[in-house]
Amino acid sequence: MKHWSRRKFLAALAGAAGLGGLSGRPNAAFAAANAAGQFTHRLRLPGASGLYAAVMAKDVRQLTVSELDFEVLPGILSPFRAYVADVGGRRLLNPTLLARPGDQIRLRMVNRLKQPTIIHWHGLTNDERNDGVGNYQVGPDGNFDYAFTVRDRAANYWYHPHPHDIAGEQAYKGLAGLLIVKDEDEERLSRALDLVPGVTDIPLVIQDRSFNFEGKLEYKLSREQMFMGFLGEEILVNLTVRPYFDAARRIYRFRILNGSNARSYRLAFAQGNRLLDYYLIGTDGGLLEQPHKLRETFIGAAQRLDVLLDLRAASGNEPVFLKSLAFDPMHNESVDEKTGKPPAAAAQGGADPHAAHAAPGAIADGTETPLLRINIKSSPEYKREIPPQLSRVPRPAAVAGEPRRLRLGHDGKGNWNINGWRFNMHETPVVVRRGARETWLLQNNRASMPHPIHIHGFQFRVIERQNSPAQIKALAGRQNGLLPQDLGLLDTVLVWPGESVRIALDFSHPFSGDQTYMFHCHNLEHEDTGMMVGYKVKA
Amino acid sequence: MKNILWITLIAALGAGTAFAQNQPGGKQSLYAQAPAAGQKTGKGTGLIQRIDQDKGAVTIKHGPLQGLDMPAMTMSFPVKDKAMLANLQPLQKVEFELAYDGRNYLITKIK
Repeated sequence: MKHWSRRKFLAALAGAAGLGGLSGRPNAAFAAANAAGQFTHRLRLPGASGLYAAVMAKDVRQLTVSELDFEVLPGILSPFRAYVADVGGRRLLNPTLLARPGDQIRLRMVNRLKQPTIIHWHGLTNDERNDGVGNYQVGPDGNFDYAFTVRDRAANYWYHPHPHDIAGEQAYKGLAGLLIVKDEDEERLSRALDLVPGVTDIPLVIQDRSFNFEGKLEYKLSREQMFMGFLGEEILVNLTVRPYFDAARRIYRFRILNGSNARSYRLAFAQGNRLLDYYLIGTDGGLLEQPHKLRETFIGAAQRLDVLLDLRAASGNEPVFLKSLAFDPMHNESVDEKTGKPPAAAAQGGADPHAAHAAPGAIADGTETPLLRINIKSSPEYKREIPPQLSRVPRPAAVAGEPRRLRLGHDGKGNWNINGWRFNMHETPVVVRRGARETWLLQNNRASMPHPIHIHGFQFRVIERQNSPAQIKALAGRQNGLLPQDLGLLDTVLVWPGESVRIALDFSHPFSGDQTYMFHCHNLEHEDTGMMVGYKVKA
Repeated sequence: MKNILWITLIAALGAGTAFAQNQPGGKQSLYAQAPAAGQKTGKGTGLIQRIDQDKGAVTIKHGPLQGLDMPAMTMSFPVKDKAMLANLQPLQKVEFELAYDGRNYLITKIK
């Protein structure tokens, strides 16, 4: 479907619904107000067994990629997929794997799906075989043995499927878990703030999902959704629909993963209309050097943000909401590349050229939406303060000279690409030398949409943002247009339409022989349809 | 894709029509009338999307409605009595029965 006809349709829908005195979908304010009173499901937290239960990664011998029934909506069993581990008599689903730098992880993936799969260890520096991508996927009833050492900083990594063409479907249907690496800096912070995992140190996995009329998970994509990425009808946290949790008046740590296929969020904590300060303390690659005070920040698909919220700053007992604030989702794929202006047809039609991609029933991208209600309960006095120093972050390995340029765009026929390349597992159009330091310039076209670009094999630092849209500039600091999360190590960076992001990479690693990795858009529908490139690290 | 879009458009129009019963002038007394000649009844299963206590209506993503030749879609329906909404929650799976008088739909039972 061409974009002008989608807009015509949306305009027709709005008009038709208006005639009937009722919009087919409520406006955002109505939806938010309506939903705010309906957060009645207790947030799922990692327990001793079941979903997200924590276990030392080195104690896990096998992860079985399983199809099972699971209550995503309360009381309704839905077909679901999970990584299942049986450890010490406990059955764990998508376990939270714990590790320390230097740990050896040796486990077997057993594929009990009816299609190929492979586990990717997102953010870890592994050799290509243990990185886990489609080139190593195994078919139904196949096994794959992983053996690697945790070489990276303490951070919130994660693991998810990475087969060719169907990663989006598999992740959507349930396959995703956290891998939390801890070190002395982490422990010092936990002691300083008296943080307890699962109680005051809480993972929050944000994912949008849709359900069919029987309340079962549904993943159906139109051609348009394949192009734009999946947007669901509900936004779940820890697979809990419209969740709440009861909190004390103290500091909480939230390890936030945007596990959505395609959706970005503009995260804030709000009490009524007042936004609360919170503190960014870590990114994809671990703790920042210092806590950074924020009121809002964006998180793209696959990114992690580690934050502290001090509920002593909340007034009274009115609930606090973690929410996504309204933003321009910048679905600008049809604007004129040279001028950045909408095409004449759209302008004449009067439709908003930046209109969010809106599948029927889906929450439109950029809509203000509450995600989690935090009820404040009475509690003993808490007197801890956030330490001013958290950790040491490796300096960017910036180099002089021209960067390697990578342009993000589409061909006008519904195919996203990078430098015009679309994924071919037999090709590596980018070749770098092991040990080389390079600067890459990720340039997103104006006629584009936001792309969360994930690089396998090596973490990186953002050293400059150019031509950022106003809503990003407004959050940037004084130096090089950098956002607060750019102050940490990343494995995924969100690049907005028209924006150029300069990143510094150090291709040093201990693996002998040539190693082939990928970089790609982590909008999983983009990844599945070819917005991915293989690159080789030559020994 | 086109089919989905048209179904949604029809659903939105239907929702408007259904809601018109509860608008001023729509008269609640309509609901108290005896079933008109030719009135159809149907039943279905669905997932509640929204509840509008003020308007006495519920939006349901439903499967095909038996007896009414209506395919699966998301639609807003008025209920016979607002009290029927008391124990309903968004994302709850429900079974419901409804009446259709040739112009408007009305949920008569929901659980």
